[in-house]
Amino acid sequence: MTGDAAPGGPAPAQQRTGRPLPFGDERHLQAHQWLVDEAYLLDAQDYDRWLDLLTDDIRYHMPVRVTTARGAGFDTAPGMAHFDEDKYSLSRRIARFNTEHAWTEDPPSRQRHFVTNVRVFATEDAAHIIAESAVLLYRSRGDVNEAAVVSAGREDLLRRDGDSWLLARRTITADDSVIRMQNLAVFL
Amino acid sequence: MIPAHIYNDRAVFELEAERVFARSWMFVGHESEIPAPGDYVVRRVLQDSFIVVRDEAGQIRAHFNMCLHRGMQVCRAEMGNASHFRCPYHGWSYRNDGRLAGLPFHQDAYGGEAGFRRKDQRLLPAPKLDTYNGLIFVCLDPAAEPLADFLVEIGLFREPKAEKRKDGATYWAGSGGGTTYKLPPGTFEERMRYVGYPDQMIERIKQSWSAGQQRVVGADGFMISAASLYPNLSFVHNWPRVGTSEDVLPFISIRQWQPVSENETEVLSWFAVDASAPEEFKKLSYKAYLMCFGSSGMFEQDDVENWVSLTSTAAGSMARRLLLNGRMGMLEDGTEVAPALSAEQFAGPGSARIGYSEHNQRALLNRWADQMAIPASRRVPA
Repeated sequence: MTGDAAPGGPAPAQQRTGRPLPFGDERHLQAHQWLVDEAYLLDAQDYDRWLDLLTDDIRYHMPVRVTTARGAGFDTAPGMAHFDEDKYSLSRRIARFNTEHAWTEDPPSRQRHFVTNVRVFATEDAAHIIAESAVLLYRSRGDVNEAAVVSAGREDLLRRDGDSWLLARRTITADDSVIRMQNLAVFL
Repeated sequence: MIPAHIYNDRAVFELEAERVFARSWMFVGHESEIPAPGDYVVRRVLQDSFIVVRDEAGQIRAHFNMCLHRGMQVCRAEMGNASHFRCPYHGWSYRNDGRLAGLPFHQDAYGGEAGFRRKDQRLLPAPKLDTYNGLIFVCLDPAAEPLADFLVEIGLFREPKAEKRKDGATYWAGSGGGTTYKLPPGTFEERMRYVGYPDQMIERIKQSWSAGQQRVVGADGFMISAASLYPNLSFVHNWPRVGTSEDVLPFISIRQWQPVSENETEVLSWFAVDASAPEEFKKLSYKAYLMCFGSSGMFEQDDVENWVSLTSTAAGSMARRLLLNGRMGMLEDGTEVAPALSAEQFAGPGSARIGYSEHNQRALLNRWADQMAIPASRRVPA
C-alpha cells in the first residue's frame, strides 16, 4: 500500500510520457515561468491570487514519508497525508488566514520558496503537461527561534487555460519523515 | 499558581523523565497498525526505541531496539513486515518474537551452545505491555499499577458551534479527563445524527457503548469533544463541515505528546475511524481530520503557535519569578465558580462542571506535582 491509496478522492489522471521536453521547448519555458511566478505569490502569501491558479478539480496531496527497509515497496504512510486537499478545503484554509484569530501567521512568517530542477513532460493530451520541480521553503518567524526549512519534490499537472496554465494536481514528496516545522500553515 | 519555568527547564525535564514518563503507561500504537504476523512499527518512549511487533503467533510484543551483542539498532526502518530482525553490525538475528535465532560463527567465535547459550537470549522486552480496545501501551516501571487501573473510561468526542461551548462541561476522573459540548435537545439517535453519524453507525454505537456512556449523550446532552490520559496522550472528536453543504462529519484523532527535551515535543497524530463504518464515511471523516488537526490542521496551527511561544518565553530568569494564574473556574478563596454536576446531571466518570474552567489542567498538574515529589527509590530489577 502506498500513499496514493489515501482515500482523498479522485484526481485528474493524466500521466507523463516520454523524456523531458528540451529546455528550449515553449511548454518547458511556460511551465518554468508558471512555477517561478507561483513561488512569488506564495512568498507574498497572496493566497487569493494563488487560488485562482488552481483548477476546480484540483487535488493537492502531500503524503507522509516513512523510513522503510530497502525493498519494502513503499515509503509513505498508508492512508495518511499532511495535505490531501480539494478546492473547497484549500479555500477554507485560505479563508482562515483572513480571520483575526489566525495567530499562527500573525505576525506572518517570512517565506522564500526556492524552485529548481524543473523538468517538463508532455502527456497524451495536448491540454496537459507535467512539471517536476524541487522546492526548498525557508520560513523564518519572529526573532528568537531558528528558521525552519522544508525540502520537497513536486510533480504538478498543469492544464491549459487559454494562453496560460492552471494547476490540476500537485503531489508533494517531502524529504523528511518528521516535518521540522511547528506546523504546515504554508503551501509548497 | 503555576511556576512559569516548569515549561522549559532542563532540571525539571530530567526529573520528569525519571519520575513521570518512566513510571506511566505510554501509548506506542494501535493494533490496526500491525494487523498481520510480522507487521511492526518502531516507536520511542523518551530516548528508548521499541519495536512494536505482532509475532508469528499473533501476540503483540515490544522489544527494546538494541542488539544484545554490541548495541546496534536491530531495526532501522519505522514500519514494515519482517519475520526476523538482523543486526547489521555482526549479523545477530532475532525472530519477531524477540528470540535470538542465529549468530554467525556461533561455534568458532563463541564456543557454540557450551560457550554461549543461544537459547535463552532474546531482545530485552518492555518491562510491561498491555492493550485496551486496540490501544497498545508499554510501561518502563515493572512495578506499575495494571493498565486497567490506570485507565478511566474516557469518551472521545466536539461541537463545531463555538457559542455552545460555554454550556459544555469538563470532567476529570483520576488519570484522565475531558471536555464536552452541549448538544441541542433530542434523543440519543438525534444527537448522534446532529454531529454527523449515519444511522448504521449509531446502531453499532448503541451496542458497544456502556449505558452510562449513552446517557451522557442521550440524557445529559453532552458530547465529549476532547479527552486526555495522563501524562501525554490525548483524543480529539470534532465535527466540522467538509464540503460546501451544511452537513458536518465527525472524526477522531489520537495524539501523543512525545517528550524530546525541555523545549521540544514531537507530536504523533493518528486518525481513527471505525473499521466497519461505511467507506464514504471513512473518506469524509479522514478529510475532516486533515482539515482540523495534524501537521496542516487549521485548529492546531494556532495552538502550536501558543505552545511554542510560551515554551521559549519560559526559559529565562524572569519566568522563575513568575507564578502563572491558571485559576479559571476557581474563586479567590479556592471555592468553585460552578458547583460539580450531580450524578443525575452527568452520567460520565469523575467530577464534571459546566462552563469555562481549568479544573482539568489543575488536576493534571497536581498529579504531575505529586509524582514529581516521589523519589525514584525503586530500582529496576536486572
